[in-house]
Amino acid sequence: MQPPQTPMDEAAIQLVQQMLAQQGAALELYARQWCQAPEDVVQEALLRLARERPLPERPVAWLYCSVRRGALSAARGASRRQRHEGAAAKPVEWFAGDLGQALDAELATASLDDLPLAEREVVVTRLWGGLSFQEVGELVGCSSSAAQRRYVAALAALRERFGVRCFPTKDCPKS
Amino acid sequence: MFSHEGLPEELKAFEAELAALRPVVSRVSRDRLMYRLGVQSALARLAVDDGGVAQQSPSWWQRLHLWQAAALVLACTSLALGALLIASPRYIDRVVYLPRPAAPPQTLNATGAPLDRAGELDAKQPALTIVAASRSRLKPNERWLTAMAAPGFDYPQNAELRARAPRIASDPGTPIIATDQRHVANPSGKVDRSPGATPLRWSDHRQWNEFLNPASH
Repeated sequence: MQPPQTPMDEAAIQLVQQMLAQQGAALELYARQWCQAPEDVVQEALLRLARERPLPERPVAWLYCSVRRGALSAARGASRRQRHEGAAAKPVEWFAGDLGQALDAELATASLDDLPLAEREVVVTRLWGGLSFQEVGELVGCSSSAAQRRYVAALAALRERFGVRCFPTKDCPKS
Repeated sequence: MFSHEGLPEELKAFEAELAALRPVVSRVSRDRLMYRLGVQSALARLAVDDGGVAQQSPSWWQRLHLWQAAALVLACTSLALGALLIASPRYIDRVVYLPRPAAPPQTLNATGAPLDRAGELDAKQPALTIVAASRSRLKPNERWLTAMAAPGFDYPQNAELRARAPRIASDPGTPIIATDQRHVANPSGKVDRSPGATPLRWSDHRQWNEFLNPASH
């Protein structure tokens, strides 16, 4: 007997697997801006994506929005605990320290962590999430031009921190 | 993953280098995620098999939440009260000082108590005041009543009645005025309001003397 239509079908499961493979690391990096357990937040967001009917037209932007809400909620719940454990917490690396990278992973983590949250959020979603400025603006609650201005300002601030390590290029001879 | 749109030239290279950094590998366990997806799917299937409640869309009244209905009712009530407030006439409290009216004469019976039914006096007849006689020189049967017009009660009819009133035999200077034309007072001090009571005539002195001094006649 053919079972009735269920809220979760094969297409949803494939989409979840695809999103985990393509955006899992970037989503965790994004959720880490607010909470200390980003993998739980990302997992819950993927489960919500599987339940969503109809499936969102832009699943990447939908996932970032869901992760943002979940991370904020988790941050509220864990704020008290973090105050007690924050001093003893071991710093977590945000980027893989691969050989051959022009920028140092630890310095990138520290520099990115020093950015204001509004700018850091834009950089992460734009640079590693691949969202358009329109989608970034909808996600953080501003216009696309405002999101672009934040992005440029954040890149300039990061470049200032990395300035000594930048390789001179044709477009950027000063560095 | 990224593009250089709208970026200053000096930032494009830096953006490319920054994008080359790879976030640490996701710690989301794929196996655990698939297991939870399976559990979620099984629970959803069970819900459908139990009656398809999960697939039914809520009706309009289920979508209308309680707080929304309460807000609607409160808004309608506020609008109605506001309309009533605008449409209703406004009353302004104002203190008005009026001259104090002269105190009306108090009608008493023979015992000195106010007549509780004095208001039944005919408004067309002159108001009279009946006071209890306390003069010791009056006979007991005369003492019960000394009726006279109220001092300061200046109706023309009152003066006329005072002139026409009979005099008490033992005190000719005191006029006697009955309560009204239809009712008379009896020696017990009570007003006789029975229908068969004979009214006294003002000009019939003999009748008044018989009334006041029944033993001498």
